Amino acid sequence: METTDYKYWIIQDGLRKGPFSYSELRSLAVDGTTPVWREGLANWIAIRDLDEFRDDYRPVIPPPPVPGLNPPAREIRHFDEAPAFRQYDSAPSSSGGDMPPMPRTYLVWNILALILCCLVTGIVGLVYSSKVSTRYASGDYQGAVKASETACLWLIISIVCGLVALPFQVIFAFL
Amino acid sequence: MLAVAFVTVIVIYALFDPATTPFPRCIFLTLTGFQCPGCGSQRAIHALLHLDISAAWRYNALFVLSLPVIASMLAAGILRRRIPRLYSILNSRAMILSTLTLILTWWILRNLLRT
Repeated sequence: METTDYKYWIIQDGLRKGPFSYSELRSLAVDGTTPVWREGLANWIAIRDLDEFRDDYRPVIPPPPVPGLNPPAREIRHFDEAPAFRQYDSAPSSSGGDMPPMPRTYLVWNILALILCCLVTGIVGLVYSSKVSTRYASGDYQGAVKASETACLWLIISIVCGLVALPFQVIFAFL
Repeated sequence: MLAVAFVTVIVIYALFDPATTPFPRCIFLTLTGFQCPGCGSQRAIHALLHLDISAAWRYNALFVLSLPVIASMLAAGILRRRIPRLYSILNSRAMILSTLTLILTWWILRNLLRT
């Protein structure tokens, strides 16, 4: 794949921005320490360390200090100390997301609810548990969150049904 | 509070044997005469609490096998933010589908084998 064909993402001001084409990113002229990622990289790296941008960010050696006429000191922010970077401790997955962890699926609880509490409501709860998984995998985080909430709701319904049925179940044990 | 309830339940199952003492009984079993996937779990719990694994296996083999799986899924749930990859894998579509298939197969199989 030609360098110019890659899509690039950067982290700037705590936000992930992109995708940019090669020329777009070059014209942004971001700071050399800006974390950048494109396909093929295992993790984010500083843009100045990326081959195709290395020439743009070759260190410039400032002139020797002249007594009484020194330019103001420039604060050098190191790549791994940038506070914004800590949120992103892994490269984007192939689904293109840098998403928070998967919302709770309540999978185990819904299976137990299906078996112990109420078959019907347990099935509904399980359907939503699996929706959390499929939606998250396709990058739909908000959809996954909603499915998670619905799965929890049906779990509670199952538990209520199970509690209501409990006295009947104990009576059946005597029969 | 949940922990107190959990411990109470464990103590009850340890002290009383569902095979002889009245415990909640499966409605599916009562209505159809066929076992649901969970039938025998209560007796299995009692057996396991008395370290009788072979008896537990006879009551509900899938239940015994599922205990380590349940334990790891609960652990993954607790560590969901620290190790998100683990949770994603254990709750992946493949995992959910195979779990459901396994439970369904067990449900059918155990009833076929009893007749």
